[in-house]
Amino acid sequence: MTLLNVDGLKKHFEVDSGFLSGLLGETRQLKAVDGIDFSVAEGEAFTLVGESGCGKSTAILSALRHQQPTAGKVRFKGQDIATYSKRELRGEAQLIYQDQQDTLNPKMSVGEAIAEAIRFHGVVPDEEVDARVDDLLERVGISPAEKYQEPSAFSGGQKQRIAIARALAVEPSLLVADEPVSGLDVSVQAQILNRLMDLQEEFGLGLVYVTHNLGIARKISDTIGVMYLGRIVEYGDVDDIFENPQHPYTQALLSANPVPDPSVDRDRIVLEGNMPDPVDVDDAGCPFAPRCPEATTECETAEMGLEPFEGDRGHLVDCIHR
Amino acid sequence: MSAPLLEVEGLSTHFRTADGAVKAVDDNSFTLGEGEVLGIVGESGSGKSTLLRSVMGLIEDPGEIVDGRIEYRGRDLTTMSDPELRKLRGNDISFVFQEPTAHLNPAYTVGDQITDVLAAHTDLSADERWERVYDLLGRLGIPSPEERAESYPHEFSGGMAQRVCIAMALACEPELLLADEPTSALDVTIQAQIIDLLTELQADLGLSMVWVTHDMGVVAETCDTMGVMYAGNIVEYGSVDAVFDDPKHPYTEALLRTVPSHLDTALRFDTIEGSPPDLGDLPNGCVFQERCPEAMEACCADRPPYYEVGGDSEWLSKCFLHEGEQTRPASPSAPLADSKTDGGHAAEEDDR
Repeated sequence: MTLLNVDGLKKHFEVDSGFLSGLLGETRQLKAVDGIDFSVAEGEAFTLVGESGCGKSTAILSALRHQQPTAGKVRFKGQDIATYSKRELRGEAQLIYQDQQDTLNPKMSVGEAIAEAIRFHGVVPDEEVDARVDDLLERVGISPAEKYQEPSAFSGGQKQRIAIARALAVEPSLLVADEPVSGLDVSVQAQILNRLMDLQEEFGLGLVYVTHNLGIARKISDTIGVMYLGRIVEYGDVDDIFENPQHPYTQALLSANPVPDPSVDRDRIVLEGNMPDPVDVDDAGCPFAPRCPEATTECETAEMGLEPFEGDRGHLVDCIHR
Repeated sequence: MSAPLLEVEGLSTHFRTADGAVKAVDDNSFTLGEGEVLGIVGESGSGKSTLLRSVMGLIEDPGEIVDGRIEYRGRDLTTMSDPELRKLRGNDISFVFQEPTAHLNPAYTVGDQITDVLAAHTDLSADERWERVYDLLGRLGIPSPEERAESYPHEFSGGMAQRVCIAMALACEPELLLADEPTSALDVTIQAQIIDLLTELQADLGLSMVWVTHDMGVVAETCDTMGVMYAGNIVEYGSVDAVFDDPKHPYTEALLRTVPSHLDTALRFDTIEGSPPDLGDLPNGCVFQERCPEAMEACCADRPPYYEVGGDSEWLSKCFLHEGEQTRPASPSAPLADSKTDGGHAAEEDDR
């Protein structure tokens, strides 16, 4: 079953364009997310990858109504997501953030934080809550004996495990994780990600994962969407895209990512310049054209949109040269 | 190998706390040849930045270099006076840091800041200094350098600001560049630009570099030699090709397996169970013993010395698995004097 279906999602912010323009009533739009589509089914892992400022975090926050989207349709289990109450939605879709410091109450024991979530959503009868907390902590690799401790007693990696336990406590069908391990060291990352993949499989969870780390994206995802300047420029099966990237941005991104093996000789595509500010983007043409090594004059005016690559509906590319 | 430019032997930097010494850097040795790029790689808290700051002479109270020597062209930096050090820094040795904007003064244009460095360290006239600034900024790929020299740091993007910092570091044509995670705050495509630029400049100018990073990919792509740090110890040191191909220390081996590569098609992540020890409460013996799949009884008793591994005196590993191989007199208790005369004098003679 499709859990989350996102269609034409946009999130624009009005930016302050200075005193004079303010007086004249001129506004400028920062197009953080500018029309993206994706869907996630039960047991499926979808990853949004992209560099900082590409809009990947805003995309999931707007999809899950943590922010009000500017435009677009989002369905959860086939039903308009706007018809869900906040409580219903939190019971179905749980978010895990990069920095758990901000989301765990520093004055509440971690066991209590998890128990509170279980009770709030009425997952199990009161007398079974304690046993459920212990079970959840064990599953993420934390000894239940430590549940009386406050968050400050735990390391970054342990806090992230606790956050996963708390997210799972409400028995959601979808887990949304925004760079959940990027503050952690590789050896700790690996432990947590393996755990996350096991739990996802065991509970048949849908997973939306957001990261800039291509090594993690490769292992954790079934499908990925590569984002650039508020749009998904390439979408498809993760192995397909990593082995046969089509969009010039995906090609450059993959080739620029350092490989931990000095015996691999690679031709790097080094892009010129920076990703522009999303405020200064033209509506017409391809947003990547100014940095694209293959750009032609048509790219500046072309009608853009994801199209199947060589007729493959599972591999979509937003480039007129493909 | 020609006489090393930089030779670090038995270096220990500790921080005094109420609960005793935190051994951020504990008995480390490595050498850097002229024109070489050395990568120091490790996880956060492994002491790699403290190691680099020790070499820079930037350790402040309550931190202290408690042992070892840092020889630059045969002169020991740990015993040098402040004015001597200041002269060396800027002229011969310079730095690049992770956060470019944190190391630029927001109140002055970048041109003013770079000409200041030139005024302090060279005899160039004002006009010549500005010429040098335009030349440097252009060389670092900053478009219209004469205009950009008049810009303030906040007017640059992260990647451009890092270019400015590198321009400033190279202003006085140093021999040695010490870089602490110079690309870690940047996005992948911008990181690729800076890596290309640094590699190109390094080759053009014959620079020697120490590049501190947590990213094995960056080491593989940029460095000639590498030191792998764990809990304040460089546990393995050797050429990048050799160490990646056949890591000798169990931690190096485990770390290389753990790093996720986007070219790797395995379905799961390799892990190292457990977490690094507390630097204020290190176990007796080897710092990696608690997580090491190969740990033996000896590992809990004594800190292993550096063994010369792979039949190569420039490939070192701190692990008892190599018992029987030649050891290197690197521990503080070992007679440092001998190696000092060797390395030190050779370097000085080369200098003349």
